[in-house]
Amino acid sequence: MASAGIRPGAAEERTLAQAFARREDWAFDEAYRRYGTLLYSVALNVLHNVQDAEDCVHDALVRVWRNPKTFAADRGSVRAFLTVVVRNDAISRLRASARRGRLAERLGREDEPAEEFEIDDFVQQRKLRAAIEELPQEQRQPVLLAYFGGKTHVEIAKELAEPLGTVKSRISLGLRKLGAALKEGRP
Amino acid sequence: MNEHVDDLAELYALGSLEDLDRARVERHTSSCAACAERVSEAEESVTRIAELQTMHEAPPGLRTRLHSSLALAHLRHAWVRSIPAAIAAALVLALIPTWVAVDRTRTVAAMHQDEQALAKIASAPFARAQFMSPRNAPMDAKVLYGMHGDWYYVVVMHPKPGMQVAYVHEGKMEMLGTVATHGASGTLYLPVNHKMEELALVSDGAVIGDAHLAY
Repeated sequence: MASAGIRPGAAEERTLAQAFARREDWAFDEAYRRYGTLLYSVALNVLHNVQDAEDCVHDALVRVWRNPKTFAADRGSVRAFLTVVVRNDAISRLRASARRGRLAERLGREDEPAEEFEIDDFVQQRKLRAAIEELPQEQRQPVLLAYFGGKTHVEIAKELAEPLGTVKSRISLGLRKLGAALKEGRP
Repeated sequence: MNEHVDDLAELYALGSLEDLDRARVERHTSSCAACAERVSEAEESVTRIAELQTMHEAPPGLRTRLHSSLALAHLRHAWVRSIPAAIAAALVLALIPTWVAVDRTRTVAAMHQDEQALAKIASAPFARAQFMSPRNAPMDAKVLYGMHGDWYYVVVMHPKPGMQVAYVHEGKMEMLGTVATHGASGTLYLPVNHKMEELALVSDGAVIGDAHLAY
């Protein structure tokens, strides 16, 4: 990839975001250097298959880079933007796989009820576990099903036998609380 | 979506929206700063969770693969310049038959080439690059190549008859050989000891795909 623009020694996030929005090649390189491990990990933690994870990161980043409208400099951090783009792509792949019936074969637990989602099954890090445990049960369960279960809010509402609007609000509130707790170093 | 995203921001960041709703959120946030900010905050929350999960080192070939794919923006212009050269080269090759003739000898030679390629793949580190069409769509074709640029193995599904592989360099093309067909697939092994950064698939004198290689 050709280089364009001035490449700072240690570009700050804001500088990186501006250059990324301008599609300067060095910004792509720098973003991948900084966040490549995170992005690959995000994909692998969803897909549990190294080739699928590699394809997911590749396709998501190529799509983002080829579509200039996807990221604006004032959109937020490149790190968070790319993380969610890759994660959403991974979840889409998983759902497509499930639709083809392969997910059930691979995981053998497609029909598990919500009650069988245990935090310890997924969360190894104490800080995250503690933050999740701080959430009220009514928010914790839908957030877990959304993040770790990869389920849509419609599926979650059906699974928990709750109104769709209620589930949307609880997921929204739960994620905001979780994000704030992790940001502040709590609980 | 004309309405603000509201609670959908968190659902979007968590991946809990169906593809259609997700696309609507993306369209809306591209023109609504308030919603973009809320989505951005939700993305930060999800990223904080993700950062506390198990980290895995990305495979070294992924960066190379990304470079190969994204360098295509530069190639499109090179194609326009090189089409006359491609046609000329194809005409020359049509007049002067190469070592790949359509007969039994070719089949045996192709099998021998495949064996050589498999030996390289099994014994030496290699990279790979995807061939992309002029419209930037991935083709069912890849090139595996030695990290020292000492061999190249092109694999194409459903190759067109007489499809050739060319080396693209400084706006010119040099034909390297013809893809040998085996049923639905075609291959070409090139024990060329030279680092080539760009290969093209040529059919009937037209470039139908290319791949960027990184070392």
